[in-house]
Amino acid sequence: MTQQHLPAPEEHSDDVEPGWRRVHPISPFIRSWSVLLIFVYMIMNFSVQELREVIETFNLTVGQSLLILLGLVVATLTVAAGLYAISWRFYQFRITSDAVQLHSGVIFRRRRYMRLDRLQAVDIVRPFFARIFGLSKLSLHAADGSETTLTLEYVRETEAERLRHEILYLASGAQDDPNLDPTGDSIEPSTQAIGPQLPDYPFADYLGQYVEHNPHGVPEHVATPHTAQPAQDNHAGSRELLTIPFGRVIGAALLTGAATGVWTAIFGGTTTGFFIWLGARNDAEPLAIPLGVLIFLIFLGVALFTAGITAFTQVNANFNFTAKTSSSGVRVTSGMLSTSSHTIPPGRIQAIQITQPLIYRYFGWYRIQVTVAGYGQTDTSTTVLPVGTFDDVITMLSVLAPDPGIEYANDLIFNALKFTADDDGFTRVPSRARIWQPVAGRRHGYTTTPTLLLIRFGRLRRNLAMIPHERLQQSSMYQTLSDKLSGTVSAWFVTPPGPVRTHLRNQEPAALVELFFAEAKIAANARRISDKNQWMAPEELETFEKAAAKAQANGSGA
Amino acid sequence: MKAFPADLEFHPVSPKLTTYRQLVNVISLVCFVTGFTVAAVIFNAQVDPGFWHGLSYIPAVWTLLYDLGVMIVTPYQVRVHGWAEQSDDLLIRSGAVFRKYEAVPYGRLQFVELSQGPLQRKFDLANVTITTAGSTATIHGVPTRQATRLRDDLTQRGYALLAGL
Repeated sequence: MTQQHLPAPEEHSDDVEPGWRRVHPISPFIRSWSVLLIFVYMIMNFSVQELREVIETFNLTVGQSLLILLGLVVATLTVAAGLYAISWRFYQFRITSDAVQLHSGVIFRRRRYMRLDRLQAVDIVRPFFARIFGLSKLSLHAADGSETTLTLEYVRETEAERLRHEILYLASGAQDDPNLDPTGDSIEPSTQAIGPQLPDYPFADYLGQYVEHNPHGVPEHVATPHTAQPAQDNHAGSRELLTIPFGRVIGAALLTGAATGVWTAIFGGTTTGFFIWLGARNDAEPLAIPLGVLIFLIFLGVALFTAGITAFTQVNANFNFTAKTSSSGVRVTSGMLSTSSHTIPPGRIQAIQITQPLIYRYFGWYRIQVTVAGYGQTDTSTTVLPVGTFDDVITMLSVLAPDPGIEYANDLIFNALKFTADDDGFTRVPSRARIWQPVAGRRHGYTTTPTLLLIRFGRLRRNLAMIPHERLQQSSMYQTLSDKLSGTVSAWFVTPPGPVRTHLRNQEPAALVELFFAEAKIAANARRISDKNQWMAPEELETFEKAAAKAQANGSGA
Repeated sequence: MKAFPADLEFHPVSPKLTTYRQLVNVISLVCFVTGFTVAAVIFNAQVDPGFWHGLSYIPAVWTLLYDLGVMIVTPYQVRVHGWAEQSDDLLIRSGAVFRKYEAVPYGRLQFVELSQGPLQRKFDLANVTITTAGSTATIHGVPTRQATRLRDDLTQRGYALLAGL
């Protein structure tokens, strides 16, 4: 024990510096449960034989040995409890008006400081083990240096909700507005009091642009946002967008599982076939056929196992999937054994990708992934719609990319995903470069709207990437060997790292050069208008409302 | 890329970059070609003689040809490499054979980094690396004084136009 002279952990409830808070007392235990499991496993593995030898060498009676065993257990528990108490004591966090701070570690002290205006997303995750104890983990994602995630483990579920609300409220910049100023204590209990004062969720107005011309219809409650929003709703402006029915979750999981199984089976079948071929040749290997059958059985088992695991993981992750909007952005909740809830504030979405894997096409399903600066490349929380119909896609888009910039955005997206016509507005790989992209060439291209850059790619697995012009980080235009040979140009529109692919390959040079410069220009202008670090700060709300009013006027005029 | 507008003025990098790069090329050529040749000779001496012994010289020959190719292209690369400060963004041009243009809006840059190796210092050259949230862009071989000015200039413009993510 290196932590000698420390006051007993019981005394400290009043020695916390003002403003600093602690997590739930049993959280160190949950944080280290895997270590505990290993420990228990080691004890279980301690063989009876060895125990007997020890008892014999020291010539102990049964009572004595039991006593010693008990003593050992008690000692271990005491030491563990002490360590946990110390670790808990040193794990403190504080939320100030412009940052979240976290201090942790006893020997190796860690101090994390996260600026709230850099906040990109807030997640509440309840891993299975923590959920048993009614605890949650709060993850804050920021675009701030290399370490982008600050995690508070673990707090009670109600406190997690309260902390999220507080953090998002502070990050929104709403407290800078004197009209909305809540006194410190009103943050939690009087949410309802703040609610009506906050303007309605501005995104609701934009829905019109997607819904107005939707030939395929959109559910009633979505089509009439304002009337559907009940006043007694606790969370300011919170509205449910969609849920994924359990049947669809199961269906998608089975399909994915089956696909994984099929791939394994194809691989296994090939191997088996090879062995059987060996056995059936003239100079037959005597063992080849039984070996082939054995390998076949093994692969069958592996295929069934992977299929089952994949399907179960998916069901577990997507069970009860619900998307909501609130004044603090898009909120996505899901999960069966372990649940998670992700909140992405407005203007934090850097790029959107709508994907239709080959097996989803028959059912008309789609998947939506987003790039958010705090999330990495492979984070599962980048999926904001795991499996949805086209209507679900449109509903989600109305909050993810609230302003498509054109009236018939719906048709554009429908056509982009469903058809390949020569006059659908998208460019294509010119025929002289088609040899480099024989399959997807006809579907690989881009189009722009006043607010979005849309890149379409993939023929078997259809993809549509959407990037708001003002979110572009950087763009580059280059030539590869294939470009050089066929006189075409490629480009990369850089967004922060994420699942969305924003490359364009083998395009017509003149058009792409034009896009390159147009993009730089639009991006520079759009950024001046619509930068939202604090999305509720007065001046930014004003711009937002202006845009909303314009959108509404357009909607009613059309 | 003939479609790219020809009237854009690009600031050239220091012509000394050619000398520096050729020096580096020569050093790497000598080191690698000698290394691979010696390795091949030793290897051939260890194993029984055979017609395929010539194959062990492939790495050395490949490096030789590749480096010679690079040395031929280098002067053109340096001539092409340059940057243009526009009102809203910085344009960087590079590549002699495979041309590349990069545009970095000032409001997007997170930090500008100046780096200089010992050999580069001898030639009074510096690399200016611009980092955004998504990727980086580098201008190689800017004279040190100009590089410092460029960094300050870019940082200032970045502050003036600083945008949220």
